[in-house]
Amino acid sequence: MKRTFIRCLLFVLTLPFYSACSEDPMPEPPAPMVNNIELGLRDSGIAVIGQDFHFNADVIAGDKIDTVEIIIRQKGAENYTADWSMSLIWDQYRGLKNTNIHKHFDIPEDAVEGIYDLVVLVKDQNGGITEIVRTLSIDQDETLIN
Amino acid sequence: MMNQYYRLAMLLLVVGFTSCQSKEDEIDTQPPVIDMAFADAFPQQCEVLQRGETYSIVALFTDNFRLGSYSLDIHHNFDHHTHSTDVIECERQPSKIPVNPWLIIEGHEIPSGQRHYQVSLPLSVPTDVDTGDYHLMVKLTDKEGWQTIKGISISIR
Repeated sequence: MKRTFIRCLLFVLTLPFYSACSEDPMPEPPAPMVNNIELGLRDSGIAVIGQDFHFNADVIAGDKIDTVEIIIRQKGAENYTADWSMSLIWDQYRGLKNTNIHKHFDIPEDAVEGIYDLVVLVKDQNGGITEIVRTLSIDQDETLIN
Repeated sequence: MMNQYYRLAMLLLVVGFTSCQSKEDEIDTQPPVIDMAFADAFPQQCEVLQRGETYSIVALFTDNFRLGSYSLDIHHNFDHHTHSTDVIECERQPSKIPVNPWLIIEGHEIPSGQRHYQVSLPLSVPTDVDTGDYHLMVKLTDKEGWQTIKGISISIR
């Protein structure tokens, strides 16, 4: 009887230590953070049709980066002479905890002048998504950025 | 008999405490370090490189856990663009349209298990590339995926 009592006592006394080791439910992993966005030279917010466009951003993943995408799309409240949009997706940053995105790419010759939304879309391997929308002016006149 | 139970209880308590220790100290939360602040490091900010010459990029990489890989990116800065990394702009030549700009984007693995690694990478400047202002970016990534970027302004003559 005494033996059984002591065994039970030992079990009860040590139980909290084992239960304390069980993992608490994991909180929702944070979404990626995107900072220092630069659209165009000196962050002018201007892109010129047929010319090189400069894009820069710093990313810190919630867990690890999956993809980085930019989408240039027309705004609902603006008038355009034709439909036009473009998107670029980069997977070269996959698996990184943080990085600097620094890209130069051409604005196609068939782009349509106007005021656009430039969407920066960063997807994390943990499922988190961060979307930042900035305004971008697409123009024909390259003197605007010089 | 009681003494045995006492020992057993103590053993269980020790196991309980040690198995509950946090594993946070095993998680890598620090990016690696690029050191180019020593005498033999190359290139330094505002370094002038000559076309047709061969140099060695020399830098010291360190990490608190394990280094992974590094990459080198050399691109023109004829448009005077900026980086959010630590590129320091030197006395700049006038902006111009590139004709045959020098472009290098190449990656290199670091031997596994290293926490310190000194790189000495040959770098030959082609004879036919555009002269002018360039950015040389060294990107160092550790095994966990933390990345550090060091940007250096150079000039090709």
